[in-house]
Amino acid sequence: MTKPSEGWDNPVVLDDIELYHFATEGERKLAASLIRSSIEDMVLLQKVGTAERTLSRNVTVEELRVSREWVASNGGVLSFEECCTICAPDMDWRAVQQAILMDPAGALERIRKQNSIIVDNDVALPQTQAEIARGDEPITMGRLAMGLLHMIQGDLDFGQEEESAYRPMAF
Amino acid sequence: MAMNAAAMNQPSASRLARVMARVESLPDDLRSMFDQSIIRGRPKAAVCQESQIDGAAFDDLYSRLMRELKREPHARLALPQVPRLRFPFPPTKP
Repeated sequence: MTKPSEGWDNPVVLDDIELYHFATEGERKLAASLIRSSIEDMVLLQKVGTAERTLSRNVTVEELRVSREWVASNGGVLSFEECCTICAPDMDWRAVQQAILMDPAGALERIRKQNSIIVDNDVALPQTQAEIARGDEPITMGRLAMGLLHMIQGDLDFGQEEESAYRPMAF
Repeated sequence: MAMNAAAMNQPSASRLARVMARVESLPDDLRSMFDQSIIRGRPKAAVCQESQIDGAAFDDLYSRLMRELKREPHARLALPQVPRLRFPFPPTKP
């Protein structure tokens, strides 16, 4: 997980408050945002492929494919595996990866419809204008992690009691 | 590394260094978005107000920022860094 990388010797000039914020919140917001945006891009890519949607001027199919490639290759400056580990340390990232690649629309639905009440150090992601227009609840890192966990393990594994006890972001 | 925050563990420090190395090469608008939204943790409304952009422009910038961070490090290079080596012999059939 902590393999040497191109940025290892790069001096990071941030003050202690900024470092503290990144360690306690920013990193999780970034990881969850990377996963959510990938799923959204993959859903849009599917809809463009079936002519259900058209692309806006500032997005291309190639740009959307970056997200799918990131999930599939587990590459990039911050990998999909690392993002899954940040959001939920015990989550089987390979199962999540397969589930998202197989059914991105289902994954997005799971995340949006996730109603678990899990609040340990949860981090809200910026709400998109589309989510605001639909009146959706803000997606948080905890809801995203729980939605993906439900997707790979199934609803039957999660009773109400078990759900409150299993808190993937409580580390 | 020039980081000394007590709260920062080694994996987080590694991730931050990698991400920052990439962010530094991004255009100003994306760097600013990363700084305000991820590093400072400012809410969307505050970022929009400070940057004089609307919510849709924020969504667009944030999505672009995420894609740039997902892109493979050298994916944007148009030309190889070293000259390609040619095959030493012309491929001829025996």
